[in-house]
Amino acid sequence: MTPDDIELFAKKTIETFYFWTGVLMWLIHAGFMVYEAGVTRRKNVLMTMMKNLLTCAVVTPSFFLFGWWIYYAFPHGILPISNALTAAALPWSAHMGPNLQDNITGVFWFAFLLFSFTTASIMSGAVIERIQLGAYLFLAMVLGSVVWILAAAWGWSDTAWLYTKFGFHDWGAGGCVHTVAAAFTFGVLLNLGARIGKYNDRGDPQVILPHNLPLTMLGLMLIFTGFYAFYAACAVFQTTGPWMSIYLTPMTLSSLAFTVTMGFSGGAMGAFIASRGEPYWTISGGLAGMISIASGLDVYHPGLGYLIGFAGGMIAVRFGNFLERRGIDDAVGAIAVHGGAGLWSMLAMGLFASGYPQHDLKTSLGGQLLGMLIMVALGFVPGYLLSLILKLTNRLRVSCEDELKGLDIAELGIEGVVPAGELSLAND
Amino acid sequence: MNSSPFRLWEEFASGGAGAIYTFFGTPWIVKGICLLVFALIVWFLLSAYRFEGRGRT
Repeated sequence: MTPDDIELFAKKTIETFYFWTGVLMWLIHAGFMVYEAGVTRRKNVLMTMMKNLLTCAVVTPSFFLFGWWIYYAFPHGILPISNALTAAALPWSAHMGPNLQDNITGVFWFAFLLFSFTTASIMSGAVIERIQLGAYLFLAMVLGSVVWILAAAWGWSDTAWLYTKFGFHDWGAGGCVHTVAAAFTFGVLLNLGARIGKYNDRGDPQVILPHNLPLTMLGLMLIFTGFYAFYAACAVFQTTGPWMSIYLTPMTLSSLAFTVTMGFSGGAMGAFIASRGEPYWTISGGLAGMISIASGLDVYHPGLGYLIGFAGGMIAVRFGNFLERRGIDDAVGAIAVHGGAGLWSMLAMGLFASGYPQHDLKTSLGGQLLGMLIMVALGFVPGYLLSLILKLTNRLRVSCEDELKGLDIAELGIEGVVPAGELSLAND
Repeated sequence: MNSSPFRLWEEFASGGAGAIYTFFGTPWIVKGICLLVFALIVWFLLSAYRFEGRGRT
């Protein structure tokens, strides 16, 4: 092959690689859908699944219109910059459509869009069974197309101020995806309140059983599979030299194979022990483990990844129980899994992987602590304020009557799941 | 905790260093980590026995 042929081949390989990571990341959303459908009560199944579907629908055009531009425009803080990259990210630029001279922008945009779906979907499970559809979709759009991508601009690129000034290192987006989404969700839940029946008169939490736990387990297995593609899309393909992190530090795809899998294993085992074998928390712990290793998986020894995942699984269970006792009704434990493990991910990077050179700076505990603070604030403030406005205008929560009746009947006019014994009647 | 096997960016970026993982320069820590992983597996297996049969009580 001539050098020109090799370069052309490399370009096609990059294009193909990111295209298929995006496609495989859809598994995360198939997973979120069935996971939440399993957790919800039978009377809310179809509405819950509609919410998951429409999350992807509403985030796509809004991310096309302004989300992609935000990533390039805000690397230095709250004031936007203007350069060739920001101009190319505008929806009317020559790069934001089929272009024979640019076969990369579209597939990068697609991969980032799938990260946006993931971020918005993290909120979706926590608020099920009582949020108005319009309120949810508005909040999902803001989280998926504005908030997380602003956090990514601040901390998840080689020009981001948290990186260039403080050496913040968050390889797999434990901060800008998981922590930001969890903090946003926490703000929303403070205004949304608990489901009717979740707490008794004394304020003690009551168990609301999932209507189909096997479906939930299957959903998480799909999420696990999709997360390999999520992490693969975080790696930067180089035509020469090693793979790079998003900060342009060297790495290998082998680090994903080793550490993501070891993190999953540790998380599931840690959660199994901490929850005394409770199935829902055990499988959620696997996800917490996969998130716990996100920030430093490019450099962790696999054994260390296991230990961090193990601790992450335990943290998720303890944090979830803590929040529940304090009146936060997070129906799927999203804040515990994504927020607890996301924060732990950034902290563990500082505790166990400081001192790595990153161009002019080194990874450090101080940089990680600052990043944690910024990610929490950036998620919580808009989530709390926007949901407060919706609450004050009576646009956040469904009526008590509709909540008791179930959202499938109240909002869609049909039952999502008909019990087997009633099938014949339903078909008449 | 400083666990990087590299002090300089040039060493890390050259790609010629081989292993880049945490504590590569201090093998006793890596062996200690492996021992801890083994201990947690044992704890997990013992817990799996302990948590069995809860539905019967």
